[in-house]
Amino acid sequence: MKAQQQRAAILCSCCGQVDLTEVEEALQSRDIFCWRHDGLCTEDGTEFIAGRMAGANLEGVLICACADEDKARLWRRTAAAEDVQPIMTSVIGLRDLPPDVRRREVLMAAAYQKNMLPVSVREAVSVPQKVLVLGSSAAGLRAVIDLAEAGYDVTVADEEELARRALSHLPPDLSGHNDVCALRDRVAESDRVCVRAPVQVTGIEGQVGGFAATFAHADGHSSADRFGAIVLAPGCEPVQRGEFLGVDVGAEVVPVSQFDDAMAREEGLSVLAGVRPHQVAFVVPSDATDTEVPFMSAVRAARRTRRVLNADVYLLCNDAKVTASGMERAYRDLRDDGVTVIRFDEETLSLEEADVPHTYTDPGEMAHPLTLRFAGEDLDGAGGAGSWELPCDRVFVADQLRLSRMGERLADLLELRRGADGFLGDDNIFQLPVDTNRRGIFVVGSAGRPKTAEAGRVDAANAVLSVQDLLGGGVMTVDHAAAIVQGEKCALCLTCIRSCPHTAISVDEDEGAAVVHREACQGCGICAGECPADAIQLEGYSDDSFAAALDVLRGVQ
Amino acid sequence: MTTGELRTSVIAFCCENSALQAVEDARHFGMTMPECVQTIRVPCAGKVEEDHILKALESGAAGVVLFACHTENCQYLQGNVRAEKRLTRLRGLLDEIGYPADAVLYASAAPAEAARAARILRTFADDLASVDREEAIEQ
Repeated sequence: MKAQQQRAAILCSCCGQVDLTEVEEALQSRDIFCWRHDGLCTEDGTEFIAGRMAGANLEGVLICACADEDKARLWRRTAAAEDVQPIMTSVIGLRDLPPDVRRREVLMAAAYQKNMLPVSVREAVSVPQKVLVLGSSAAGLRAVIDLAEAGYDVTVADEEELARRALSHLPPDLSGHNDVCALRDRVAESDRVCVRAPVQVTGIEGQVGGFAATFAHADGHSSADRFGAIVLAPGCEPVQRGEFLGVDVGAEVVPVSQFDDAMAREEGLSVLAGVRPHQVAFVVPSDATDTEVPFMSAVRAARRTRRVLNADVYLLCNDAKVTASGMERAYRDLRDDGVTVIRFDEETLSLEEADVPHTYTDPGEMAHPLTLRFAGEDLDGAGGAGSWELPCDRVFVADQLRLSRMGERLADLLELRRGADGFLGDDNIFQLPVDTNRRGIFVVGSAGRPKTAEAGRVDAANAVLSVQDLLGGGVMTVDHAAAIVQGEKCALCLTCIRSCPHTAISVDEDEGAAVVHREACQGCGICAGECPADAIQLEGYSDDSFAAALDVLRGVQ
Repeated sequence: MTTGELRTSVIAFCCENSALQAVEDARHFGMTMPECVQTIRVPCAGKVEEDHILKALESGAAGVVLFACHTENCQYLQGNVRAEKRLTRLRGLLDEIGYPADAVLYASAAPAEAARAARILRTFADDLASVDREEAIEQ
């Protein structure tokens, strides 16, 4: 191998669907070394990438594979962990490109330019190599194991028994049901992991590199410990529906999660109460659309019902194909299986229940106890307000998901910013998938936003890299220009504490003034802007420097 | 009257994560920009205090633009929200102390929106110039 740094490419052939010969030739003619893999999107793809990076003296790497944004980010960071510059790492998909474009795109990406990152002042602070994982969703347990393997002492705490919530609240094929059981056993066996469950988290003080947590145990005693970073994995849970379109949820109107529960307990379709229904409708109401998990869950349940019972199955939804990646295919499979998909407008849909409860004697002569009515449809083209009906034996309603109660408590305790949908994941584009508004606190899995098991795995891997970035080998670098409070001017009005988006300011009782924690401050200067007493100055952007800038401009005039 | 004939300048406080790049690009690509615009780099629009804006007006600027990031695009999560609120409050005060409320403007641009940034500055400078001209006619 040459002493100087090389550039390399990792190419995915998508199980032979992509002909890599031409691409390889193009890259090699530009001194770019090539590795091949059949399916980088599978679990060992990430390991393959990490394996190739390890020890190789690379300046940059080009990864050619189809990957969603989170996975691409994970790969870039995997490369960065081996000192391959993340800005030199590109991920592009080959399979979906037309053949003539393929070569051009690859060459363009191969001609990437080296960028310079801004140099900032750094300070090294020693930090404990301990991580606290709160909650035990599938992604959380995965993070526990990965963190332990990466050499951290991990404490995992949950308000219930480990993984109990993960096993009861989510559809099994989406929560990674079997995974969770296996992960729970591995967590119990690991000697680097301390399990505290069930336990209440009563307080978490301090900042990144020195979070002080206190726990109240079930037997009444309490304990405390210090951690360098925190990973949140409290998961999500379905909102209990009392009624749907005016009909009580019960025997005939059933949440999809109950269908999944019954399947998980291998009770088969007994949730259908011993009848063989002829007409079944699955409804995805607006509060469950735009969320991959409940939608996919309804789709799978609909297909299963169609296959097992050979009943007429209808799926009522909106925007079936654009809800999430992979929906296009799921929708096609659904149609292929013979499920009828109906787009509906929630305001015009009503549900009626037959007055007399039905007793099923001869399934062939079954009268349908429920009627879905679609109103306001112009059926005869005459512009009249008509309606049409869909008689059903069962109506399954997709679940609306929300942040678990433990998640709610943690969000309050840690003063975390929450997205518009109430989950911990942020809509802000600068927040990487596992970031929260506080440095050193990460969120994985469905607590951030309802996610599939695979997306949760990606989260966990991202969280491990984030923790490694932060805590390193026991030394944390503090590299931001920070705000500084001039104690004698501070009137303790707490305006800065309320306005800091990163919860980096607290009251110093001894000084009788607010104090900005350097390790958590990200240098935005919002506190300096808000402080009514002008008691906060931002390094590099003080009031004096503004005055000086104005003087310069005046001189120019 | 063109913007070049303004009696004084426009000062734009530009967030270094977004608008500063846009304005610099607009200059770099030679887009039509009022010549009187001066930029001051800030780490976040949320850092700019009322004092800074008032001092800029005091120092002879005809107008001040507070250039922030788009909604939910602030690197510091809340900076643009804070900046907009602060500017709205300031506009109410300007009238009392003898400046026209239109002398300050809150605007947002992404780093890639050079043309948008140039357009915002152009419109703002033109508006100031027309107010200027009306005053001159009255006198």
